[in-house]
Amino acid sequence: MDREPVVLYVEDDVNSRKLMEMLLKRRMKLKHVTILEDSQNFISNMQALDPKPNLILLDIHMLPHNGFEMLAMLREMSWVGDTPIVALTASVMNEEVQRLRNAGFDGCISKPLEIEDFPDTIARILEGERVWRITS
Amino acid sequence: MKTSTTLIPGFVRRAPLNLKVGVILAATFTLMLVVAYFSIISTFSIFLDKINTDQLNREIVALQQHMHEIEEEVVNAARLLSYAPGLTEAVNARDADALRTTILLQGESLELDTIIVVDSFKDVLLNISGTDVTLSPQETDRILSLALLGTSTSEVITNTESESSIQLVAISSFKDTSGKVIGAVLAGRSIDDSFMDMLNFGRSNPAIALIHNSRLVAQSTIESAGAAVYDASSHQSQIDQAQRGEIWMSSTADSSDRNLDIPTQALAYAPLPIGGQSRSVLAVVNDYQTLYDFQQNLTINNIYIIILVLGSTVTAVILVLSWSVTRPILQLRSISQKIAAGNFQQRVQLRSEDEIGQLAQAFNAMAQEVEHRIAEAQAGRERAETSDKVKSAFLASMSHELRTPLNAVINFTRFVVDGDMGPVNAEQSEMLNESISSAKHLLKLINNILDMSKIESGSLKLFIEDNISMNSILESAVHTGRGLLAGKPVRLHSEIEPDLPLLRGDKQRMLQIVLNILGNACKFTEEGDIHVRARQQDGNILISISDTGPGIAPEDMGSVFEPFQQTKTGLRQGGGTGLGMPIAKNLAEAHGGRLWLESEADKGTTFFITLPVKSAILQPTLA
Repeated sequence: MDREPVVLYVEDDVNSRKLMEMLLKRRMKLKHVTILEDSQNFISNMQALDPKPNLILLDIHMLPHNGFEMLAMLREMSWVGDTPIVALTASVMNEEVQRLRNAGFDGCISKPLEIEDFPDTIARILEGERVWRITS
Repeated sequence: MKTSTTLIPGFVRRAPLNLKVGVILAATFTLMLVVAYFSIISTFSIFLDKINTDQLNREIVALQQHMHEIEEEVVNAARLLSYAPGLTEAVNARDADALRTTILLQGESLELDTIIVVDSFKDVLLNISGTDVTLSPQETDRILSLALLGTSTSEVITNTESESSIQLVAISSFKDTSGKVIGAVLAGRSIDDSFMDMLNFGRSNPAIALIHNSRLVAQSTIESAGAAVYDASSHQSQIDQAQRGEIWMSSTADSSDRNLDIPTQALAYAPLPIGGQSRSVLAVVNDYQTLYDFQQNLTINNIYIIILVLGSTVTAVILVLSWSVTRPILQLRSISQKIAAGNFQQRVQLRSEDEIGQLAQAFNAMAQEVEHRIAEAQAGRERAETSDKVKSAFLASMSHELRTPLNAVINFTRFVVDGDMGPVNAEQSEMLNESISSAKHLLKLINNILDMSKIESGSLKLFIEDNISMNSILESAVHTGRGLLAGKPVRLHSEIEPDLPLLRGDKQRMLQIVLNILGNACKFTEEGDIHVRARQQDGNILISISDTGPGIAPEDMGSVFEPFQQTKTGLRQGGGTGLGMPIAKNLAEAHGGRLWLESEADKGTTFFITLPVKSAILQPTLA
């Protein structure tokens, strides 16, 4: 890893946020973790981010903008480039994953999370691997 | 069937219906016309024959009558001459000049060819012969003898020059004032061709001839088709018959007797008694060419008219058929084709109420029904699609809503167990792990129920990829299986052929199939061995998983793959939803593969899975 992971996570479910915060900050001890609880003012929130993330995790079922809309907005931003944007969702039926792939997500991590494997998964994604981790 | 169709030429099979009917009608009419024509001709011939027979009979009566009148005339002429003024005196005086003068004066208008005056001694006092021929002296002498005896008669006398030249003669005696016969007068009329013309009333038809003593003596000369067309010598028996007083007549119906060159002639031989003798026979040849021509023209004209009428009829029939049968049928065909092409609103526009009209109505009713049913089917399909979408959306939402809290339940507990929240003692750890395991089991149950719902609603979608390694799927499954067996005296053997071909399919679902079966084997086997075998066979990968578990009783075999059914053992063992096997079987079949089992109670069970290396029914989702 050339630089330290800078993670952005957008999630409206409070328990999921709490869980991820523990995972990312406590377990993985990442310094740069931004967790947004809704998608309001998404564009201005993104512009305000500093440093810019090198991994973006998006929940899909959100308001006012869902994961697909956020993805589309991110793809418009020049700094995003090839920053991996990964869906973190409980909607993991084949047709739903198919929609994620078609929309242009770089990967998918399913809920419930396998927290033992999670750091490894993140590392692989940061190395450019496309992870479609769909487990029962 | 084939032979019978090849017997009919293609152009006949392709010909329009109305044309075929028209040709049949025309052929029938032509046949009828030909039959009618010959029937008319034959009937007319018989009719003509009858007319001709009657005509000839009338002719014969008229001619006989005329002959009789002429004979009377000659008799009267002889008598008139015997009363000529000054005849007695001239005879007594033997004054030839005076005799000639008085006779010529008296006989001026009598049209006689011969006048002979004799005295009582049969001395010829005057002999005037208007023709070049003279009467036979013997016969003249005989008849004059009769006259001098006071007889007044008439008869036919042959001329000296030619036996075939005759004269009709009459005699009359004359007396002096004392009543003594002093002489006789003979008046003769030559029966020659011009006589025949006169007898025939100057007509050209019929032609007549006189046969005397079987010789042709004279015939009418006015030009006629019937003139001199017969040969009297060949009709000797007929002439003899006529001489005996019977009329013989030719008949068209009996053409062998006709002996005539021209078919439109009729011939009769009739007795012509002269002076009480019946040695003369009258031949009458009647020509009915004119009548025949008239009839012929009439027939031909009629035929033209009939042909015209029949032609019009055939044309009318063709047109009517075309209008009332062919056209509607073609319309029906065209509409059928349109309907077949999916244009279900099409209807036949026919107002007639005949069979074709009824057909069209029935067709329209059918089309209506078809349109109705198609619309219904369409609506049904749309409803089903909508319902499938609703169902899928419900299942997806259900899955999401159940997984989200389980995420918190499982992982918060894990944090606690892992000591992230402070130290945990062994008892707490065990209970928390139990709670994690239960939550994971719950998740699995939820997944199975959702999978089964998808399978049953037909909305299960596979995520198809190429190059799936069954070796790695099986390795992973065996690894999981070993975990499940931890602590049990069961050995899990892996006998997997290395380098199995890469598959097309849904990797996750393939693993699910193997895990569902291997999981069961691990769950139910208390001791002994589990063998996982895999090899390539006939374009398939054959996987078998055999255990030394309790086995499945024959009566339970059928229910293994039925959703929500569990075997007795399964129920004893507890846990599970009874969905694992049906889901595995459905997933294998969705890949074009099969899943089945062999089992013996108390000895164990072997499950077999086949998966096609390259399934024809699967297309890569991302292709």
